[in-house]
Amino acid sequence: MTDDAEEIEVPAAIAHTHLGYEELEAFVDGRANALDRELVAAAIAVCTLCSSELDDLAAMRKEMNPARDLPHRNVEI
Amino acid sequence: MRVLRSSAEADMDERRLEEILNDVAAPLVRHIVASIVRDSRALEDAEDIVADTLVDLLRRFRDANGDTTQPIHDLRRYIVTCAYNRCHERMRERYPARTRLRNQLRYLCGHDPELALWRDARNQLVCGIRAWQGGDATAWVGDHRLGARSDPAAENRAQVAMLLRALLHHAGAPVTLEALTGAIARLIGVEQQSVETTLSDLEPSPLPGPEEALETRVSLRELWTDVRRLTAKQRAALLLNLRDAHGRECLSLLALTNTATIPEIARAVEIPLEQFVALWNDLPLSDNAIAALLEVTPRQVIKFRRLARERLRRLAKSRDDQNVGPKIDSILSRR
Repeated sequence: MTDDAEEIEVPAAIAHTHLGYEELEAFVDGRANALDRELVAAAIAVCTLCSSELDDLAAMRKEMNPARDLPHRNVEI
Repeated sequence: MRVLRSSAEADMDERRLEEILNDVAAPLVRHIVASIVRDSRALEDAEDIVADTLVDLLRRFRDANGDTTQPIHDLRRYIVTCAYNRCHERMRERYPARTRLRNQLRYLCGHDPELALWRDARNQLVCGIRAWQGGDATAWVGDHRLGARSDPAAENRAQVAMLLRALLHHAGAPVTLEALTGAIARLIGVEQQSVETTLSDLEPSPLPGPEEALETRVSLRELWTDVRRLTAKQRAALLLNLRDAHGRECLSLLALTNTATIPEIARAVEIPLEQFVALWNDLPLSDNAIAALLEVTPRQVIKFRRLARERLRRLAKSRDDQNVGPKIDSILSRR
């Protein structure tokens, strides 16, 4: 697997169809706007891949710091 | 009323697309896919990914054909990006446990106050101790052995966090996220776990378009009923870009078959009738044009459309399971 795809600005017409990591992360961290929340909610209702990845990140966030409302975020990527 | 493009025009377009696909895209895609999968255990996937990418490109070229609002300025770049993305998605689908592990590591490095995540000069994601932030990644490949319990589902997050720190300290320098993921995947035994999914399992499969659907007595009325159960944005993303299997406009079939009137379609996509009539001859709209109408990004349009198709497939399947109506999912499963 590679991150090379992220080296190139992705034209919208060839954007990914699954939820991207950034979308998952923003949702889990509570930073997603209303439209993105709608997209994530709709995606996890129909895609087991996106759903399991979201569950996984949510569990990771909870495990990292269950007492904090929102986790620390190191850097904008 | 919109008239479908002539078959002669369509044939000529198809020949041009075939030339581009064979002469330009295929060699480029093969080169890119080979460069990505050469170090993995997924070599057998390479040809599948090449084929998937070419099919994907063909669909996208068809979509872009005649769309003057969104011209492809740099064909090579377009193909390269599409190939990278398709390869990335395919690996994500084929190796979900590895992807989940990579996400966990990325999240850990991005949120743990002692760790850091950044991009190097090559734009690769790099992980490290916070004090190392900004440095270049080492050539370390993580080919050593640490005691680790096999955890195929990568659900032992505490172990993943422990291994991450141990490996970073062992490396003594920043490491790319890919290298770290590979090393931990090997340690906990997720590297070889693949699932035998084909794209057709995860994405709508190319099935007959509306004309074929009509011939097979598919019920457009039931389709229309289901479409109205979608959210407004899903309806707009789907209907305003609706094409048949050859990439030709086909929303007008709803009106031609008296399935829905133009005012009803306008209401469904929540566009004032006068405005909708004005854009009728421009259908199908590009993702950019739909995005402007909906005030969302083109990427969101693509996702709304995909979600719409998936929901319609499920509604159709549910009806099939109940055996109360004919299959109608074919119309919506094209892309």
